Amino acid sequence: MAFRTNPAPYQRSKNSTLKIMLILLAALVVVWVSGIIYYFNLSDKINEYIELENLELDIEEQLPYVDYGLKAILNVIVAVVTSIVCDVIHTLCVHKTHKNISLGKDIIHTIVHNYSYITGIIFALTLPVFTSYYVIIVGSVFATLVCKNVFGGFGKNIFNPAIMARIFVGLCFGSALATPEIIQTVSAAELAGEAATAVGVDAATGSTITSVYNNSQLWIYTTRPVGAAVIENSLIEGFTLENILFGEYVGALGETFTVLILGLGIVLSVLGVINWRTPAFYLGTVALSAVVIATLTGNSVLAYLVASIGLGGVAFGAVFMLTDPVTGPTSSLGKSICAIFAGFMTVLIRIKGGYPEGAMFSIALANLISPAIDAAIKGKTNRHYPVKVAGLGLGVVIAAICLGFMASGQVTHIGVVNKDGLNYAQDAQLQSAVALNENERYCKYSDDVEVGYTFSNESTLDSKYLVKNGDEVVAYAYVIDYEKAMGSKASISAEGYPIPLNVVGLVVIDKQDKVQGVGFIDEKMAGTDTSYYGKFVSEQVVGNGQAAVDALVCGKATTASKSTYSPQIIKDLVNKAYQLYALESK
Amino acid sequence: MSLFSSKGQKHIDGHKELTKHEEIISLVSGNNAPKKVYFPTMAPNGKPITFDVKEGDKVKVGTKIGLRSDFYVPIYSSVSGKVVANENVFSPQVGRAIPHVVIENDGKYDEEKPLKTVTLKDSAEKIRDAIKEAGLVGMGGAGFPTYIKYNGSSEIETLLVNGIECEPYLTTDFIVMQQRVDELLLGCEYLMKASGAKEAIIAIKVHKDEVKEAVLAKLADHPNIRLVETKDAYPMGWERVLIRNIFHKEYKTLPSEVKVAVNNATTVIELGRTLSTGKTVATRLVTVSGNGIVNPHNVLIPVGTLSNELIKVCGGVVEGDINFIPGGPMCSKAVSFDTFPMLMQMGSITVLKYCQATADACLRCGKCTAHCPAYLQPVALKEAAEKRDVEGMKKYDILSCIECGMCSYICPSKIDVTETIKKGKAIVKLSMPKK
Repeated sequence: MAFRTNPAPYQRSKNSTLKIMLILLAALVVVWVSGIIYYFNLSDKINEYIELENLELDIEEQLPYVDYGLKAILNVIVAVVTSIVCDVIHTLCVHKTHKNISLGKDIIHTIVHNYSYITGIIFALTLPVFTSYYVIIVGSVFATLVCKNVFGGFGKNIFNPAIMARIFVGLCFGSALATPEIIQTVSAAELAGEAATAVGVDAATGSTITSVYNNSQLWIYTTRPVGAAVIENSLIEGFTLENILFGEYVGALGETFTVLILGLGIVLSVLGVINWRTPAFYLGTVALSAVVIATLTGNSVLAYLVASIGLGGVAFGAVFMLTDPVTGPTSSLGKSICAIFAGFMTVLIRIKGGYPEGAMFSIALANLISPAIDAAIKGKTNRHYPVKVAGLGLGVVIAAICLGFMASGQVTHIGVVNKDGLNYAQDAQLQSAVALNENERYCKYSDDVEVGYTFSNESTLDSKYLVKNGDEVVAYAYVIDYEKAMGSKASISAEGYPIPLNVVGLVVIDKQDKVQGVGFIDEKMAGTDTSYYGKFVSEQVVGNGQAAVDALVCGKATTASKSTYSPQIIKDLVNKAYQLYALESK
Repeated sequence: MSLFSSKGQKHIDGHKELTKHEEIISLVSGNNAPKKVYFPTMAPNGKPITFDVKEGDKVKVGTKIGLRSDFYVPIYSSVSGKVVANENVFSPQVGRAIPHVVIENDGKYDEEKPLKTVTLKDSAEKIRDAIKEAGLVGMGGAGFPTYIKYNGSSEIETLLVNGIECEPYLTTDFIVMQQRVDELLLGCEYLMKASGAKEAIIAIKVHKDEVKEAVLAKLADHPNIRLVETKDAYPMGWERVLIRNIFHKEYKTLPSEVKVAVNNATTVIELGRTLSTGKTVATRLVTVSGNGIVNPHNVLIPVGTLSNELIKVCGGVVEGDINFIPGGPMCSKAVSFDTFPMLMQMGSITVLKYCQATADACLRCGKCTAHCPAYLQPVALKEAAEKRDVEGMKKYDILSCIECGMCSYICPSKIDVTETIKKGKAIVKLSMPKK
């Protein structure tokens, strides 16, 4: 017997770091399993599809059978095993500095307590399932050796290793992460529920939500996430909000099942594994920004909101990566500030930066400023309490409003308004249809006009339109370089679809928020021709002069900010233009 | 609200059931009565205590034998008998062996002439003097002289009787408050009179139903006293946390800033007894508990009994390595001797089986910051203390730390945060100019 005089207290909580990490691991495994199930089902459908249709496909001559379910399993195993091997290698290198412990014990202790297996599984879950194994291995080595062990192992690293590895492979092996064509083709068909019966690929658009999303231009120029467009306009028919919420699309292995991830976030918060403030403030900032942006740009708030949170790993980053305690501030206040910053950066990168990985970069940047936040929060945590609460609340609101105006400030409004004035269209196809030059090819203008809506795919023009028969619609556009736009003839193609579109109008708004022209398609000219190309007649009616426009809109809309060009105002403008035209033609 | 600040409290396993309903073992009389009792010649803060008895003097229970040199705290004998030679005994407060005055117990417990009693009709001044003369110190563990809180210099509106007992294992307040309700309420009345408080609040934790019933049964006669139940959380017994919970107020250094005076329940009970009967504190109840004790019990002892005699009647300690703690397991430091005198303020001995905790790397989870009752940032303090960064430690307000042990308790990586901060505090104190 001996009297031990180790320091007080002698009663310790039963919680331990190992326990926290194992609960986190369990949550990650749940996400992983949901991914595995999805990819097994998807593989079945793809194989079925290939079997039925391989002769008619002109994508590849001979299509292989795929097994992405197995790949989903192996991806994570490869990443975890690589991470553990890196830990072992690291231990072998530094073992001589660890006294009083045998090599075997040292290795086991490092494997268990360096928690690289968590890094490995998170990293694998942020990658698309079809990522090559070599990319996963390189990324895992980078994460464990370079981002973690070099800094001194668990607890010492500055950046979240999984995030850095994801960014690293994203920049270095971008092409290796791209969605294979077969997935693009078949998944879309599968999503449309047509896999087994589809007659041809052209039934689908040829793009999955991932590939469309990866065309990050969508975040920037249309200020609406592809999700909104997809949901509202059947870019991929049958794709709904539920698909985003329940992860029924091809994306990164673990990032798609939003509802599951958020549910796990709540469970982990209750269990005390993560601090709920981090995901709450992060998602709150992103969500509020989404609401503001959607409102200011006249998009569907719900769709934009769901797409903002559900796409691009925002939810996954919020629950599993930004909450990494090692790389974040320690105090609750610091965590909240850091989360708001990350939320702001996520949206900023999306609308201004053009990387779909906005979430990843923002988390890395948040890691970077964490020590500064910690250093700034000195003294007691209850000091200036009301100021802190008010300040952070205000911070979220200001961030959201700034982002909203930044987004709306460069918006290219291209949308369709239906009878009720609801802005439900904004369809890519229709945008391409509302072509702004003689060649009826919007894409040619992308450089000059800065509209930037690139449509390289001719086939999209031939695909379905959202405008249903009998819809009364107004198309409107905002372009920056109005001179070029005004010189051209706007036209609409409604090929393949029954006409009439009763009123089709075009509003051109310049950089200074002024309406530079209003055009429309003459009802009489619309006719019933299925291949009708109705011509905008704006220049005949109102010209491009300011006076005419002022007369049109009584000066009101001319000074309004872009965001106030609501569907209704656009509609009114076009109607006035039409009335003027009708008067003149008499 | 703890959105950004610390929660400041946390439920921890109290292990109170070990001794809560056990029989009380009395060491005051009978075969097990201590042969000798010990009185240190040094106060906990290291200041000397002068004794005016010498070897061979006869003393009775209640004989004034000494006086503290810095505050006016008379020391009264707890047994009757003869003063024998000074002896060097380990003192957990001072941290080393110091000379103690030893009184041989003759077992008769002859009583000295009682002190002058006071009644509630006497003036506040008179009651204050009686409190001063009683030699009472805070019996919750701090040992701070009671009379200083009631010197009448600050306006007090509420008297708060602290019956929380938030350290795990301790049950003495729980038992004494049940058994001596009359003296508790009397003590409250005396203190209200002395301080000018209009109201007294007796605070206990929830689930102390026995105490609640016992007190409520007699509250009808005392309209100005009420019972308040608080959450079962640690460190609810720290007056700052208690006032925060009951009054929702914060203060800088002393509770009197928010017009509250706080006293431990046992102190109030002994005060009620001493002032009404003139008999000084000679015995106290001590919890001997923990998983390192064979038969945990509450033991009634004459003040100054050696700790090993308490352990003996509780069946001794278990085999293997142990932490022998003079106090509760959260705040008190384990000692390497099991023989030291139990003073008036020492209400417990906790013996725990030693379990080796292997510290993981700090994962910077911030749980310590989220739970610090002093609203500090222990993780930042720890880092500053490790670097011996005096300026940094001051910026993080290290001297506000009360060493409650919460940060070490909550740490999932089992890091000795509190210990590191204690060392940092010592460094900061050394660096400050002497007053």
